Amino acid sequence: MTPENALPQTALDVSHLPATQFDHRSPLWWGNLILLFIETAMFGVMIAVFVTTAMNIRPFPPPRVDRFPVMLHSEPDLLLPIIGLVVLLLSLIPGIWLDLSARKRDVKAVKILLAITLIFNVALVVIRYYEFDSLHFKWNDNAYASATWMMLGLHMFHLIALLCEDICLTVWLYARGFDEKHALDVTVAAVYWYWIVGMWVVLFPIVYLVPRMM
Amino acid sequence: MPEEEIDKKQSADLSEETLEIERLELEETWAAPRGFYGWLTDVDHKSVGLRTIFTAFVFFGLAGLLALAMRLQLSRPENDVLGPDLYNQFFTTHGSAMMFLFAVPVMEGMGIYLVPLMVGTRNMAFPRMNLYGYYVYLIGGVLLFTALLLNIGPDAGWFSYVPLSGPEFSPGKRVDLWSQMVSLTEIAALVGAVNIIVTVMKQRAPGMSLNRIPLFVWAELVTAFMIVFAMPAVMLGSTLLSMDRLTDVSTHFFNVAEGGDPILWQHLFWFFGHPEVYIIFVPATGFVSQIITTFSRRKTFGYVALVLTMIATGFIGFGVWVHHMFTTPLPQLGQSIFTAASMLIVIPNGVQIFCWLATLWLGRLNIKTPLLFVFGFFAIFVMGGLTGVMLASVPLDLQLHDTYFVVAHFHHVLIGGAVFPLIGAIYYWFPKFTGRMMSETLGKVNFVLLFVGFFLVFFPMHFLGIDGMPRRVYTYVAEAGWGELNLLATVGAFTMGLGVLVFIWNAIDSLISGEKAARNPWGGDTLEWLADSPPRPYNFQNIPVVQGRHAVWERTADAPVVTGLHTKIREMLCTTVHAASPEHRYSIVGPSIMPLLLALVTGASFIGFAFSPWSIPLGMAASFAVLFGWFWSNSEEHRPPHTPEEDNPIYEEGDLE
Repeated sequence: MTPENALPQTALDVSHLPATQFDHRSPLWWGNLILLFIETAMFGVMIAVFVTTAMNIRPFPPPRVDRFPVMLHSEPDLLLPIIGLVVLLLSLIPGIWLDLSARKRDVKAVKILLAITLIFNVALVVIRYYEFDSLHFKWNDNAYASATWMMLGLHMFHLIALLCEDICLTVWLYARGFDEKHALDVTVAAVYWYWIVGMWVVLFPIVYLVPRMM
Repeated sequence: MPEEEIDKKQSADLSEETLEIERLELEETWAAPRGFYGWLTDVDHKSVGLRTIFTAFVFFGLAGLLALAMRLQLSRPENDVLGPDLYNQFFTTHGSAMMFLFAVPVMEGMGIYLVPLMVGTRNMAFPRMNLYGYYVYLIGGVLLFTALLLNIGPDAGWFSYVPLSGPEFSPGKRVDLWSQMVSLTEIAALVGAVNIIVTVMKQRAPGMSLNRIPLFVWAELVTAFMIVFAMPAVMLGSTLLSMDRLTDVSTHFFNVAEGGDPILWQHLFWFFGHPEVYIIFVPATGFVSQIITTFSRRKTFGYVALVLTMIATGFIGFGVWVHHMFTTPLPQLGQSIFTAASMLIVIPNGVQIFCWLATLWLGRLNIKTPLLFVFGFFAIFVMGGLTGVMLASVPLDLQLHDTYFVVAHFHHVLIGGAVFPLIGAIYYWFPKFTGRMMSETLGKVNFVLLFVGFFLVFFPMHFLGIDGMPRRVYTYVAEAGWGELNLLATVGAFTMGLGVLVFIWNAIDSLISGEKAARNPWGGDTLEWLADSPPRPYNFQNIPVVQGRHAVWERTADAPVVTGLHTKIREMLCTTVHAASPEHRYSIVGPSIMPLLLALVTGASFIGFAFSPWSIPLGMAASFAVLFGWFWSNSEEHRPPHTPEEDNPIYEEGDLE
């Protein structure tokens, strides 16, 4: 044990180390990852809610009898949801490309790709908005409808959150230029993007296919 | 400031003059902003941590006063101090405040203060988020007590079971405000957890590999991970409940008539609620480990075992929630599994207790107030643990469910397992927080009053429960024969109240005229004792290099220190996750009003949701506006003149790497 006020004698010089690092070396990347743990837990709980209501309701999905025309088979329509899924999966192409371009500090590519992902993002929010019509139920018709709306709504919330993040990055990029810190930001936003797509790949069959199988 | 000035880094020259110049630069760079406005924007983890701890103790005091009122009401049969409605509001607010506004925040507050110091860094990874978390928590807490003052305090119990808390049986806004309070405080808990995890993962001093992390930091890390996976369940649950209740929304998640399920609420609540107990208890085991090591004056016995038991508790803690629901129709296999899991958790806890006993047994004891509270912890917590094993058995639980036996059990676990170590921890770290020692004499009086008071209140409750006294009744008839034991409990409650007063008096008096504390008054082994008491805003002038598990005890005379960090910007060191070898420099942003603004928007939109669903889109739009400002100011602070250009180069087209 050294005396309390003794001067240090040897130095570990870190001045040569870089000021920013990508991926698991960066605190920001970790912060984002833990946030996604939280949100994954949230969807896990939501799936449990959905399954509970699905088990409670017989027949499932419940026939829609309170409005005209009466619907005995009230499974959700698939056309628009499938279009949404395809657009979401296609958005991975500019998404991954953007991620790679940011790592290469390819300013031109980043600027173009960020604008493209922004368009995808807006399209996805619009498609999701109309997707609610495919459900044939309003949120307050029954517990199954409540759970489905909530699941779609929560995922839509993330699409909007990502849109907001992309707007911030795009405005900064065009106004103030592309710097090292924002290269990191773009790669971290990409992780969020991948997670949103991955989450939907899990949720899509639950929302749209499970009612058809039962 | 001119650019050549910010380019200056700490030099490897460790002469007295250089160190003095660098010290002055650090003082200026990390200085807390001045004035009331400055105080609102201060992102120093020590300031945020102390505010959280102080606020949590204020809520502890208020919830304690509610408990005293309830004890007065129950002191004799058919008493009329509190009417049934007020009594319902009091016990609900007492439980909700103790769990959501005191226990979890105070444990996180201790982590926010201590973790960066113990791992040897200058601040948390995301200092502005940290401040945001505090404000959201404060708004949630003020909401609960304001509601109580306006006679719209929640009255459906701290776990708000549906259908009682549903729109049919709890009209009005009482439960809505409760569920918004839950959402707000859980946001705060989650923000704190993310911050603690990243700080521990990335910012440990060089040399503090995973197997050298102090036990309290391990405890905070495990707790933070538990928060990450437990809190979403209750946040979602309380959101679903308020959507069911809100007239314009009226979803049916818990409405049986439309395929909803009241038992679903119990699952959602207890999937959070039981891990919550460990979220409160695990940090307390961290206090116990640190205090026992310091006051035994020897290395902790079974460090690896203690770490593994904390992690095991974290995992098993998620597999026991259904034991709160043994009186609901469960499949028999389910009952058996959850009984087994609930008994299983005794094993890691037992291992911990024996490791601590071994450390004490092999050490040279220095019996001071913090250690006394740890002894109190042993006595009370072990009893609470044993009644827990009893309640894990379904047949017994069916008899004792919702009786005072359960009240006795969880107060033993929570007060014994968390409050006693916490108060010990305040005595232990008070010199670090304030630079002054707390009085030992008053500390002993404080301990005796709390310890004796505790047993007077809660021990008799076991018998009351076995005699059949149910929880949550505002009174009882004389013929029941519960009068004497209830009177005894009331006497004990006021003894405890006196103990808390002595504690408050000791804290205030010591703050004003306590003996000045040295850097390491107790001879502790962790890095916070290398910092000044109270620490400078930058914590350490040079980040220390860690040479062993007990960083201060194993520090050699020629121990190296980190140099080469900027002294004119807020820069810290990031190290690798496993070995903690230096990886990159990491600059953080300074004070800002944005956290407060965002917290106000969050608070307004959540509270608004008790009245109208439109508060959510409006709140999202307003949040986006604030977040844009937050993002922009952060981004500007990473540009010259705040940050040297070479640390954040701007790329042009054609600059391909």
